[in-house]
Amino acid sequence: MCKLGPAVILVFVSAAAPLGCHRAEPRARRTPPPSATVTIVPRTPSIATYSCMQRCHTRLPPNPTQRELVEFHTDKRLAHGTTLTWCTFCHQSDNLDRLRLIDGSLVSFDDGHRVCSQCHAERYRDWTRGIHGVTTGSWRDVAQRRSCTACHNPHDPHRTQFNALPPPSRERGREQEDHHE
Amino acid sequence: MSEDHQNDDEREAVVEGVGKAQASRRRFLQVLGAATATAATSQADAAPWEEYFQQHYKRLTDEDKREIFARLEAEVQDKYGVAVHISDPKPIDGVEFAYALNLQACVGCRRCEYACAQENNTSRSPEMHYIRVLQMDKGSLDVERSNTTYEGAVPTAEHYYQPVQCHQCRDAPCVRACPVNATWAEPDGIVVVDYNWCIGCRYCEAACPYFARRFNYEEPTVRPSEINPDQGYLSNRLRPRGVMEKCTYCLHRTRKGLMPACLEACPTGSRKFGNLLDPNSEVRQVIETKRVYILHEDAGTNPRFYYYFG
Repeated sequence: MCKLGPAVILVFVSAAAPLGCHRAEPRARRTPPPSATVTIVPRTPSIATYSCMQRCHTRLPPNPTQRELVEFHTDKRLAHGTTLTWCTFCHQSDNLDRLRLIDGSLVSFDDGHRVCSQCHAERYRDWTRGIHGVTTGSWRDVAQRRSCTACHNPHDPHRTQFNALPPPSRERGREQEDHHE
Repeated sequence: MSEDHQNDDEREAVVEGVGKAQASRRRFLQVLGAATATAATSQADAAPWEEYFQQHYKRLTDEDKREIFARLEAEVQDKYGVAVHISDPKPIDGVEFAYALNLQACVGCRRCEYACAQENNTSRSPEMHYIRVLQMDKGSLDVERSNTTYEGAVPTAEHYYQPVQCHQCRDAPCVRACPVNATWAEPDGIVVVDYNWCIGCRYCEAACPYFARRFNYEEPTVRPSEINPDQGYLSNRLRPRGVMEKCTYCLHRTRKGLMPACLEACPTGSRKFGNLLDPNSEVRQVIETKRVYILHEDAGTNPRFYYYFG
């Protein structure tokens, strides 16, 4: 009787609901639609003190001496590796609206990822492929990709902790399976 | 709670469910009787009739769908006073969806869980989340020893985090387990549920090695102000009590070209979504260049969800 049960059900089901077999249906194998166009979200609009030159630095003569900052930028703690010990390593001292590459060429803050790529080449390669970093929008049409400094603080890139949202009250009957204690 | 006690609870739930089913069937017969007696069916009586004799999704014509969607939209308007739009976007040719998740980047903040609940109109009480974030011990892949109820500051130095949701398997055990074909894999790989065909037997839930299916033990509750009005018939429309539901990779979004809600909410960029058949898509790049790990590979489910490192 017990062994007959499922067989009877199966016969009943196949007679009543001939909706194809239980295996997955054949998958579409045609040409994929074109990939998404990726745009990089510009950084300058989100920098509160931009433009640095117009706001302050045109009036201030550049002072390349390494020193403790006591008046401005006191909140900036420089803790990025052991070699980045002073502003001018990445910022151009006579044009502080620009970043400086190792070869001396200047790039905008919007191209800040080029500065990062000089050391973090593998991460940068992953970022260009969309493997590392935040890309949102559309998988098919236009996607927006965030630059490195949208997430990482370039002056102090250590990951900080933040609070997780609370765990949900589980569905009834599930607690026991979840805890495994 | 002991094993026996839990079984009792389950038995009670089943008995209660049967009672409810009988009650609603009786109500239906009463309505049917009344309709036959007067030989005239009013608008109000038409709904249960149509609902009971509604065909399986695959047998519905476009005309049937229009009528059903209109009926469901009117029901939501009556019950919640919210105007919703139910659509049924079709799978796109040449598209097979897949997900990749960076285990090194995820910090376990659960932003994805809540964005998912918001997008998919899942019940707030009892609280139902499609995604479950496992807090794993570093150096271990043992999900049995993971913790899903962690709180406070994340990430901790001793743990990494592994969010688990429906893996949209190529050989989905849930699809095989369903005795009435109420769940199936669509041509773009998404495993869907016909909520009006599901009998609530929960075989699929038992079959899933990822614990990715959820059952509505109680009437799902969502505040009218929190209802997402952009609804898909096979995804985030409001569900009744007694049916299964699950992650559908937000098909009402993704089949229109958007990213899933969980990906949009992720602050770390751990989540990657795209077309597996497109060699330039992010998921394909991940699979081709990174160390990829499949959860419960031994289960032979062949999922479209990949964890990767880096």
